[in-house]
This record gives sequence, structure tokens and C-alpha cells, in this order.
Amino acid sequence: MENRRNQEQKPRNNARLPREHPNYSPPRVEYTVINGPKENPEKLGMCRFNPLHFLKAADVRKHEETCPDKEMSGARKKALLKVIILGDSGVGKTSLMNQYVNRRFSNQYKATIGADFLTRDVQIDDRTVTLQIWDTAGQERFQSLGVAFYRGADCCVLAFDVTNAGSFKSLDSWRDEFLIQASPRDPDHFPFVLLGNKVDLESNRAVSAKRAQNWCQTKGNIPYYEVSAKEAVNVEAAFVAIARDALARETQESNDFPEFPDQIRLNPNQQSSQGSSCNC
Amino acid sequence: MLSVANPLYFFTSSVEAPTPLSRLRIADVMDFFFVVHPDSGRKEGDEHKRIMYFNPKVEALDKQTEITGFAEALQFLREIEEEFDFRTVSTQKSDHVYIQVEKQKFILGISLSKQMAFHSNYPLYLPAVKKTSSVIPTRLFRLFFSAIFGSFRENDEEKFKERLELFFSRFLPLLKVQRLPILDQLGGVEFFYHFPGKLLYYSISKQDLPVLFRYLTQNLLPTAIAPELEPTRAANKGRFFYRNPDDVELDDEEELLERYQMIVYRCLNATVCMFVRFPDVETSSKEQIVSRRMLRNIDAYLETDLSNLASRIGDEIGGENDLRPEATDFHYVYFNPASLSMTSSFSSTSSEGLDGTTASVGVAKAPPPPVDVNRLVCETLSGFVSESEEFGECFAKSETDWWVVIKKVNSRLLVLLLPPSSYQQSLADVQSRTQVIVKSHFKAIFFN
Amino acid sequence: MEIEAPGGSESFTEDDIQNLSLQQIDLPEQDAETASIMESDETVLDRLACLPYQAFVLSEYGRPIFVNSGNEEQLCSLFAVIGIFVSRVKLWGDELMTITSKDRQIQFLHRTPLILCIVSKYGEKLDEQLEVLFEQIVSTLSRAQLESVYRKKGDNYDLRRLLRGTDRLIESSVSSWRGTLSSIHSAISVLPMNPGDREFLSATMSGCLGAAKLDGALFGVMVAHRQIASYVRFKNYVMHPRDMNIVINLVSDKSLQVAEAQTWTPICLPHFNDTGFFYAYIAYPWEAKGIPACLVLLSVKRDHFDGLNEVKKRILFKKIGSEREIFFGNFSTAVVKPNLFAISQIGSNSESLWSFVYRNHLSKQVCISASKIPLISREERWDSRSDLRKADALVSKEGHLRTLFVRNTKNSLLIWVTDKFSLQCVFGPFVSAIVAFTVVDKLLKSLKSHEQRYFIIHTPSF
Repeated sequence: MENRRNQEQKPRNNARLPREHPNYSPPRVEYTVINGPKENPEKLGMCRFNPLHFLKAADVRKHEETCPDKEMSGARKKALLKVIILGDSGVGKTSLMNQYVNRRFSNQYKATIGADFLTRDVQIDDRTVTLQIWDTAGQERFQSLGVAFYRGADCCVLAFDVTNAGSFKSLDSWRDEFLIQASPRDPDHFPFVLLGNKVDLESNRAVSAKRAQNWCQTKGNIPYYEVSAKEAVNVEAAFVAIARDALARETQESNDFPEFPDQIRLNPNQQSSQGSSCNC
Repeated sequence: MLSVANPLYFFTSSVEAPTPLSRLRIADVMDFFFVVHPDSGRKEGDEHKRIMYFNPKVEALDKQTEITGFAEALQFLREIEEEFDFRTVSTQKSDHVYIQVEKQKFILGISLSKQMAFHSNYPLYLPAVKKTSSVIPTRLFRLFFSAIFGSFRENDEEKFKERLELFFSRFLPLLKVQRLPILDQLGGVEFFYHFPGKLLYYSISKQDLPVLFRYLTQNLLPTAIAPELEPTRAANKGRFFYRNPDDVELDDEEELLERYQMIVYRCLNATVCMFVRFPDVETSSKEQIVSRRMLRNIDAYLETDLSNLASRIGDEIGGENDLRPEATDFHYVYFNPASLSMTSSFSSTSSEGLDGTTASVGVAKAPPPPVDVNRLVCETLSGFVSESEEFGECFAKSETDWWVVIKKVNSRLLVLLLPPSSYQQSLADVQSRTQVIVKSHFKAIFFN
Repeated sequence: MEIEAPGGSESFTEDDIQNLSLQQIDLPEQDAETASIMESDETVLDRLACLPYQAFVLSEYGRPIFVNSGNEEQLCSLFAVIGIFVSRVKLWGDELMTITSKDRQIQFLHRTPLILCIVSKYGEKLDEQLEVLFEQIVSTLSRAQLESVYRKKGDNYDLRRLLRGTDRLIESSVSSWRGTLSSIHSAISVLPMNPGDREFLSATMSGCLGAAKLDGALFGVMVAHRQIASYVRFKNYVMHPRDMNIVINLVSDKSLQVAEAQTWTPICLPHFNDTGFFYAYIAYPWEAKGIPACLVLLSVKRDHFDGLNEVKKRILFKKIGSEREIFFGNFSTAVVKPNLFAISQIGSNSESLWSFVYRNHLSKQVCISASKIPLISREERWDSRSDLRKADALVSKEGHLRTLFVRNTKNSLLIWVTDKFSLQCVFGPFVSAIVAFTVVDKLLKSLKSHEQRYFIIHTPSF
């Protein structure tokens, strides 16, 4: 996989037409040619850039060098992360996010379907990571949608108000709620981030940084950031950390190619009844 | 307590006019109906406060909030689709219509159950549903209550909700839809070709006419049936429907709203609906404009003439069976968009209306068309007969051998539904049959 | 009157078209061009709005997978909203199908673990198009793998990583819709050919496949212009039209159209079997000579490449001599200059008929007329096609409709549906019903007498 990462990081050749362009045609390369004497049929391999390119194992590498899909595959697809923001209502999630995101899709969804959806691009080295941020309503009224909200998340951001001890106490239940509804594969190592908001109101502080950090330690060293709507710096740092962490996890994923284990077993009943049964 | 001065006085929930075969009550196929004011539910935790009216009331508040939130969220699909005057939503189980009213400050929504519609033989056809269940009540509502909508105040929502409650809890049970949905969609008014429940004359705006007419015949007049059946009443004595008529807002010629007071006067089975204009909204109260004295004068003026007129109508109906088109072996709908005049074999079979008798006028002896033929009428009319064109012709044959014929000449529309017959096998047969029918039944009103 | 339905009664089943005849009523719309990769999401939306069909594919939990024209990251909030709408209705124990407004229709399809959505001004049969889109994705991964992938890799898995390279196929499947009539998703269009040439080709293909005795090699197809020239099968196995469409979409991919090259690729044909894979041997034997015909041989065995490669060679070189030379000459003409059904060939009164689509319900084959005067300009053809599309949608929506004759100021439309076939015609505005039916009668007779040219009447098996 190291090899692939390198290829993805190659600068794009902008002189060529983008592939969606009507006049785009992939470079004509000779590939996928399996000719000549009988090979051991088991030794077939697949091009890493396009599962349709299925060829002699010995030719795979050579084909990949020139595969028209090479530069299109990994690099074109920016990484995308689903990030959930949870916390009591009033902790200031929305104003924090307003500062931070590129564009707020609409700020009316929270009242109607329980979440607002925001987008933010983060640059990690030379790779762009798009954050799909789900700013959920801190209301039980929308809990029924929890599964749809939480599942498939790459990261969960918990937020509380440092001037409101109650919002800090709720963190446990938010975290539990998330883990139950999202049921991630590895709950002990699921990436959480904690944001303590409104640190500009230091005089009203009810939760010390120390206390928050202690809580984070007991939950498996969750990173903690103190932020305020006036100071978005730490928010940025938090999201960069989230993106970096997720990219690291992604590279650990070994096999990203379809498997073709199932050979079709023909049975006589499949004959002719197949087509005639459908009257489309 | 409901005061007599209240405009809602004339609704009595106990009245249910018999539903003829060609119509059904929308309440019988309805899942829910609501009015929301989204701005009232913007605050986190207060989402439910946007709900101004929700029927059925038994629905849990959370579910009401979900349903109305979903409807409100639909408007934000403008990201991919800009306009939102209405949206329809189709799910596996139901069809919904959502429309925005009053400068998009309010959303009305209705959902009809596909299963209930199926069991009621009602072909769900969304454009017609939209017209009947949303546009008409909205416009009707505006006729009577635009003042209320206008006077909506953030801080006095309870009063507003009360009024909605009074209005819709009486209106919805009486609201009916046609089994042939284009009758609702075209939105015409039946003139005096066939009595009863038909219009003789009007001088209000064409926009207001269909809604007002529908309101009179479906909501207001049915309440008159009961007292008229009492034998002790002097039969030819005229009467007013309510002593303290309420203000109505009608369109003037420039489509601006003007306030009127409505007076409904009835003698025998003839009804006159009159509108008295408000001189100045601020300074006058209702009682001052339409005084008892004025009503007495109207009564004196109209009673004799109107009872004479009503008797003449009665005589004509009684004695001229042979003058009216004989019972046809087909169904028809005729509509003239210029005058809004509409007549059909469907509504004429209904006796709903004024005198409460069940004596059917029986214009069609053809069997009622199957539900899919009714839907075919809607589909072909909206799909293949352009609204903007003045001429058009369409013949469609169903598997059940029913034929649907649509003819549009000078914008006037004639729809024929011909039951299966051995004389109409080919399209040519049906064309010549159509010619015969037009000549014998519709020549006077149609092709000249 | 007993009507003979041209196009055969053999219930063989194939593909979809898109083909050359369709290109004639096809009006390539101006696709907004893809600009720089970092364009704003507003720009992406604007560009998307220009497309006749905007297709979205996402995971059940709102993660973007595909949008035609690309740049799904830019629209990830919109994807999330689509997902929540579907989930919301599902929580009510119902299923969201359609949202409409004044001039747009949005159709949804939830097939675990995916949600598909399409937005279009042309609301006809979007539900079927979503099925086609779903099957296109299944053809890369198989249903079995699609259903297990999130379980194996986690709900946050980015499915785009498994589909990389194939989104081009999804794209071409979506963009093919605009050129076609929707009924054609489930039908096959046949390349017009001399009956003798077709017979020769089919016999050669089935003979060579049969002689190779490759256990598991089931189908052979010759494709040109997204139309079928020949189709042979093992015993009674049949290919569903929608599966055939997936094969055609695959071989129309430019990256495979390389002279003197053969491709061997796994492909799942969901109507045949949605858990396993076929292996497709794909060759463009005459690409170098400028003849865009493609030979596809399908086997269920992954080690059949060499065997099928031999079959191809035998098909190409089996018969040496004049017979093959004559065939090749005729075949290349048929491919390079396709001879579509010309309305004028039905004789008198034919000038009142402008265009038609005929579909045989049993053999699932369609025949579409070549375009003619007055349907010449882009607008004229567009209007005519819109009418046919509406007619087509009406036929499938109101299954009980048998005849429809519409006359308006622009043209006349005749629909005729029987158990065996359906026919949709656009006539001039002054045609009478009697004349229209006379012409249609002649048309059916003409199609019947030339049916071997425009249809595949018999599918040889081996």
C-alpha cells in the first residue's frame, strides 16, 4: 500500500481534459492483453485502479504503470469524513461551527429534521480532507433518528460549556448514547474529541481544564481543546487532528478491492425460467 | 362558548349531508391535516410551537413535530430545486401535499392514505388533491379569515389556534372530493342546467366564485336542511341564515382584497347570497353596517319575488323532465373556463344539497366508471391535452373496453366516458358516436 | 382481427438499447463542462442543475458515494439531507418514494446499504431508472458483497474505494438515459442486418462455442452501437434485457476499446445471479479496420480466458474463402452504415407517419424508426421524443390502456397496446383516425415481412 500512497501524491497533470469532459478520452494503452501460451489460470490479478482490469498476475504491475485510471482513482477522490457534534443545547455548538465551516448548507434543518449539515475542507500535507459535519440538535425529540445520525461516523466531537457544569456532566450520557446508537466496530478506540467552549468567559468558569482533562483520560485519552466563539484557532487544531488521525487509520486498511469469491453455481432450474419470469 | 356573532356559528358539527356515490368525504381517506407557522418553532426545544393546527389531535406531539418538521424541511430542497409554492410527497403508504400560504409564512399539509383511497375506490391524483384539500380551504379560509391570518401575532398564538380549531374541525368533516378527480381539478361551478344545487347568477369575481359556491352548497346550506323539513314552518317564508353576518374578503377587479359582510337569504329552495361592503374597516363594527332594519328591508323586498322564483324553478323541475336531456347511457363532464360553468353526469346524480330529498335527477343511466378509467381521464387530460391550447382531441380505450373521449374546442372542454358497447369496437366507431352525442346533447352549449 | 406481432414469439430476452437508431432521435444535451477541481459547491450545484438527470448514491448513513459529474465532497451536506429524509420516513414505518414540485421530480430508492436518488425535470419512470442505477453498482460488487461490505469494514467505510474506476460506467449508464426512451431499459434493440448474414454470424458463434466444450461458458454476444447483432446461448440459459444492458454499457467504455486487445473482467449480472460473477471476455476484433463491433463471451469460470480466446480466433477465421469475405463485407456495411427502418418503405400515406417505437412484449425487442422529415431539427426531434416518452410512461403507468389517439395543433399521437406488442406513433396533425390505423396496419405488415432484418427471431443455442 505504500506504493499506492506515493502514486496518489503525484501532482496532477492539469494539461489534460478532466475525465468528465465530453471530449475526454483515456490514453490509449496496450494492456489487458493475455495472449500466448497457456498460463497457470490461477495466477490472475487485478489492477489496483480499476476492478474491471483483471489480468495475468505477472502483467498487473506493468499494466498499472500505464492504467488510465491511475491518476483518477485515489488522488481525485478527496478523503471524506463524517463528523458528529454532540452536546447539550446551549453549549454553543452552532456558533462555533458557524465560525469554522466553509459553508453552512442551511441553518434551518436543526429545527425540522434534527441536524444541520456543514462542510469544511482541511489540508493535511498535500491531501484534501472534506469534513461532513453533522451538528445535531441537543434535543431528545430527534433521538429516534439517532441511528441515521450517528452510524457511519468517523469521529464524534463532544462539546460542553465551561461555564455550565451541567453540560459537562451530560458528557457521559452523550458518549454512551453515541456508542450505543452508532455501534462502531471498535468502541474502545473510537475517535472522540472534547471541546470546552466559552473559555472567554473565564470569570464564570465552572469546569476547570484539569477536570476536563481528567475525564478525557478516563475515556481512553480523548484529546481536549478549549475554545471560544471568538477564538477559532483551537477549533481548527481539533479538526486537523481529527483528519490526520482518520487518514492514518485509512492507510491501515489493507484491501480495498472487490473480491470475487463466489462462482456462480449453475443449476438446471435457472434455465429459461429466468428470463421469462420477468415481464419488464 | 361560541357566540352567535362568531362567524363559525353556522357550522354545526352534527350535520352530515348524505354522501352520494360520486363523491367521498376527504376525512375518510385522510391521514392528517395541519397548519404550521415555522417561525414560531425556530428555537431549539420549541420546535413543536410551530404547530397551529393538527388533525387528528390524538397524534402524539412528538410525531406531530416530526411530521411538520419534515414538511418544513422540504422547502429547503431549494438547493436542487428552487421554487416552492407546493410540494407533493409520495411514500409507499400515502400521498402528501404541502403548500405555503400567506407570503410563505404558513404551511398547510395534508396526507391521504393510499390504502384507504383504494378501499374507497378513489383514484388518488395529486393535482386534484392539491386543489381540493389545500387550495380550496386556503382560499375559503382567506375569504373568511384572512383577517385572522393577517392579525396573527407572535404573542397571541392561542387565540389564533382556537380559531383554526373552530374552522377546520367543522370544515374538514364536510369536505368532499369527487371520485372523478378532474371535477375537483377543473374547479367549475354548475349552472342552472339541472337543479338543485346550481347557480343562477353571480356578480362576484371569478376567482372567488368556485370556492364560495362550494362553501355554500357543501357547508352552509346543508345546515339549512333540518329546519326546512319541519312541517310547522311557513313554507314560503324567507329567512336569513344568521342574524349577524360576518365579514368576508373578496377580490375586486384588481385582485385586491376588500372586506364585505355576507348575508345569505333563503326562501323555499332558492338562496341569495349578498355582500355588503365595509365603508371603513377601523371605525365600524359589524352590527352597524348590516342593521336589523336593513335585513328587514331586504326581507320585505325579496320575499315575494324569491318565493315566486323558487316556485317557478320548482315547476320547471317538476314538469319539464322531457325538456331536460334524457338519461344518457354515457357519462360526461362539460367545462367552460371562461364562465367557469361546469356540468356533469356525476354531480347531477347527487341529491346532496338543498332540499335533502333523495329524488335523483338521474341524468346518466350508465354504470359508474371503474376507478382506473377515472384515473385515465386525469392522466390523459393533464398529459396530452395542453392547457394553453384552445383545441385538442383525445380518445383512449381501456382494457375494460371503456372509452374516454376528450374534446377541446375554443377552450371549452367536453369529456365523455363511454361504457363498453358492441357498437364501438374501433376508434372510428367511437369518433362517429362522439359526433352523434355532441350533436344531440351538447350542440347548443358546445360547438357554436 | 388477429394481429401478428412482428419481432418473434420466442421469449428470449435481452438487452437494452441506446443504439444507433436512438442516436437519431437522441439529442446530446450540452453537458456543463467540468471545471477545475476546486470549484465551489454553488458552482457544482449550478452545473448539476444543467444535467437532465442528477443522480446521487449514498450510504444509508449519509456518506456520499456518487453524483454524476463528480465532486461529491462538495455536496456532502446535500447527501446527508437526502439520507435523513429517507431515514425519517422509514422510521414512520413507510418508504419515501417521490417528491415533486412545480417542474421537478425527485425519486428515491432505498436498497440496503445504499440510498439512491435522482432529480429530473422528466419525471417519467424515474423509479425504473433508479433500479437500473442500482444494478449497475451491483454489477461491479455483486449484491452479496455490497451487503456485507459495511459489516466487514465498518459503517464508515468509503465505498468509493471499492468502486474506483467504475464510476465512469455509472456515469455512462446515467447519461444514456437522456438519449433513450425509458421502456428501453428493459428491452433490446437489434442491429438491422441481412437475415442471411445474421444467421451466418450466429451459427458461427454458437458452433465455435459449442465445439470448445467449455463447461460454464454460457453466452456470446456481438454488439455494435449499443445494439445487438447476434446473441447465442448455452442450452436454455437466457440473459435478462437489463443484464444485457449492463454488458453493453461495459463494452461501450472507451478504455476497453483497444484494437487487437482482449479484456477479461469479472461482472455480476444481477438478474441472472446477484451473488456471483461472470467473467467477460471482450474483444474488438475489427477496431483497427474502423468497424466498432465488439464480441463478448461470458463464462462463469475465471480460468476460461485462454479457452475463450481460442473461441474468438475460431469465430474470426473459421471459414476461409468467399463466404466469409461476403459476410464480412456485408457486416461491415451494416455496422458502419446502419440501415434503420425507413418509414417510407411502407408505401402510400406513409408521409403522415413521422416516427414510431415498436416493442414486442415476448421477445422484448424494440424497433425504432429512422428519423425523417419533418423531424429534422433538434427541437422537432426533441418534441417528438417528449411525446413518445410521455406516451411510454402512460402505457406503463396505466397498464389497462389499450388505445390512445390524440390530436392537437402540433401533431397526432397514436398508442396501441395489445398483449403481444405496443406501438407508439407520432403522426402529422391532420391525420384522421382511419388513416392512422391504415398506416399502422401497413407498418405492422411491413415489420412482419422484414422481421428477420430488424429483430432476432431465433436465438441459437449450443
